[in-house]
Amino acid sequence: MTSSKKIESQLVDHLSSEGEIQKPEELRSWLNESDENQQAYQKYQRIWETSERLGKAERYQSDSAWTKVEHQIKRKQQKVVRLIRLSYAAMGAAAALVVILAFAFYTGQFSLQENNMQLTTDYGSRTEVVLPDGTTVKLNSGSELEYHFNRLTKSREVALKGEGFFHVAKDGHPFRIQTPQGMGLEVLGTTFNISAYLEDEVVHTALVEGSVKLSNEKNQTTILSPGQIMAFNSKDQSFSERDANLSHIVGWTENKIYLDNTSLKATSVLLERWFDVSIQIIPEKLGEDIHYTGVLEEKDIRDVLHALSELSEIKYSIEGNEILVRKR
Amino acid sequence: MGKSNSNNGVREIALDSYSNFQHLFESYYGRLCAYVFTLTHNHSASEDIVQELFIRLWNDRERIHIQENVLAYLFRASRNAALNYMRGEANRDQNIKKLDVQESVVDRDFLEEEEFVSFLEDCIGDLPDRCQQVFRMSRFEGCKQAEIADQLGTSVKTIKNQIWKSLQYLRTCLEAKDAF
Repeated sequence: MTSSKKIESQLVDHLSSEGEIQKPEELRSWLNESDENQQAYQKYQRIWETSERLGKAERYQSDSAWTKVEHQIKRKQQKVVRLIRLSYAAMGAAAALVVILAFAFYTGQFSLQENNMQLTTDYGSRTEVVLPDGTTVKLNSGSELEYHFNRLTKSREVALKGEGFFHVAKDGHPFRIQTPQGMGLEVLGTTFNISAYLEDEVVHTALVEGSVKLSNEKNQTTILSPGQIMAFNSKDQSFSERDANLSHIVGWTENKIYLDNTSLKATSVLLERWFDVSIQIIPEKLGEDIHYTGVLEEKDIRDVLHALSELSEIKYSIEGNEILVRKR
Repeated sequence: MGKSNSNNGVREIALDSYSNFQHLFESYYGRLCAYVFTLTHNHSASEDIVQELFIRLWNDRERIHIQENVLAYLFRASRNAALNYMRGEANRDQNIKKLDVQESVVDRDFLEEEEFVSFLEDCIGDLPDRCQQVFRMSRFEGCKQAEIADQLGTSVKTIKNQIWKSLQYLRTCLEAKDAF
């Protein structure tokens, strides 16, 4: 009788060889010993072959593909938004704070006990809502918020992609936010800003008042005190305090964009979200060379670009939603 | 998240929220691409086909009622989309509506095999870290035992042992799910 260790080793080698190596004598006689052994072997073989197929599937990058799909879907929604905007304009409503977008209750899940809702803003628009627990949220452009509130347990869970300014109603029960980068945030009642756009590696949390607790995937936590700004890096799941001006960070809630020695590239990203445009900088390096400090309050992208071109050596051209920025 | 494994192992994911939709995408994107590739033999076309399929699925979600299991639906829809692509048909919009009536385009054996792949994927995800790493290197990246041993700074014997352990674990896991 051959030792089972030897059989195991031969079995693995035989599978690894993709059938090129003949089954050694010991393995063959083990297989002939019983139907049970035969069946076991067939199962291993099936696992072995099927997992190769799975490997082929893994070569396709689903995250970058998802970004594309999501972009397409948002483009489609965009058209609807423009129509809403037009009708607002027709009604003579001032274009002060922009439009509420998809505000959808989950079908079938709506009950007295539980409130689940989903709120999204497209690029180019911001919105403000009061959630069923009394919390108010201002949602910046290109953001998505999913909200779950259980009236019995009073638990409040939010999944956020993008940026939001929260004023959490105090009711003695925790309010939790989860970001796609793996950072979690827990508060009882407080005011803070959190920026967690899907494409950003770093999540910024700025506390205005009260206190919040942040956690990472390693279950490490850190507590913020008012005025503190914490950067969370999703790559190494680390927290580090940032030196920045709180009023600048929450400036967007008053329709202002503050730039603090912000590069042209980073400014473009802000403008793309804010005005729903796509900005290309040529050459790319130009985006890192120019920096701005100041506040933008312009309601029109043309005015912003004009201001920036006065401040720096750039020129721009606009074609529909596409903007090209070059060195002057 | 509305995702459940029913008794015959079919993954049912409701299209009632964006996060469910995203989950569906992440679960099946690679497998559908790999499948479409077997028909088109073109990687980027395969990716485009599958991405377009999902975009249509989302945009038409209110009109689409998936009455079979999701896996069968997705593979069938991918197949049709791939065939359409190959025929060079411009009008692909009719596709989704047609699918509900075309029952046996993708045969049962194929779907059973794909269901097995789903189970296997779950079980591989449950492997202990070290075994999972070794198994993935061996099966997904096609590394030889000696190469894995070299990269992980250990002996071939250890690697062989970990592959064996993984196989045993996967077999037990799949048997528990009644997957064979």
